[in-house]
Amino acid sequence: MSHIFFRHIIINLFFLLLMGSVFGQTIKGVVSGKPNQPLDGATVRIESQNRAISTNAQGEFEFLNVSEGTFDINVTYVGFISQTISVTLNKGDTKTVNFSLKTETAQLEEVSIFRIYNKQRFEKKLNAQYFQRTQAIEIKDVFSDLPSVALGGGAPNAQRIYVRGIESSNLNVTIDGAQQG
Amino acid sequence: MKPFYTWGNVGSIDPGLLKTITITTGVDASQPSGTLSGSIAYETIDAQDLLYNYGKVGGNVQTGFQGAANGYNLRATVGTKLSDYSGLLAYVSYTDRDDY
Repeated sequence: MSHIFFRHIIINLFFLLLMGSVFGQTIKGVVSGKPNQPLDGATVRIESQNRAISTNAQGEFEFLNVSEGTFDINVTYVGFISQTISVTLNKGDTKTVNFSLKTETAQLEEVSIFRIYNKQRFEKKLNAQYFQRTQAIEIKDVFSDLPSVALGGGAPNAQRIYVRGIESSNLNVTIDGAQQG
Repeated sequence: MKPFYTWGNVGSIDPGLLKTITITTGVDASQPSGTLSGSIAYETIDAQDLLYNYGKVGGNVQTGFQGAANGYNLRATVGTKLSDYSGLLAYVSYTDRDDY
């Protein structure tokens, strides 16, 4: 019975010693932007330990119970260039590391928009010679021999234009670039 | 603001004022809107389009006759260049087709 009791004490002592070496040191500091404004929500990482926290509204962060050794502390924040500072912790140390991030100017890559014609499309450009040849008195005459285009209605103001059976309110009709209807 | 010749529907545009018409059929997402089955792009003439050989003033006269209703049409267009960037366009059109 006493044997088991002593074993418990030894195991507990071992853990206490281990805790003493692992949970002792503290790293804290403030993260600020260029005009000394604290950055709220910046991500602070201890690279080798997979530990990360966010700064509070005052830009402060604090890592408790950091083990001894040398660590790279990395800070990232959207719109700022990330910064890494190396910190060496001895037993019982509380180190203060302040970060001052510089703004990042991002150069966006060129965006190109292009279109690909499908084979069903048909494009026809009518010019002055064409208008002369059709002897166009009104716009109806211009479209008279185009199979895709039809005009309905009598008087010019009542006429509706159709392309492949679709009426002009569902077409993109422009005059000098100004959209109609 | 729309110029007078863009009022109403396409039927009221006089072909004498048009330089080109580009008709494209088919659906096209690259066009602004309403391109369900195609687009019709009208381009109107400028005063400069009537000038020949870098002249100052230019124009044309057209007439037409239609036998079925004894209809006739007269059309005159005159354009002059005021400066490198401005011009004046005058256009008259008359059509008489009785009751047709």
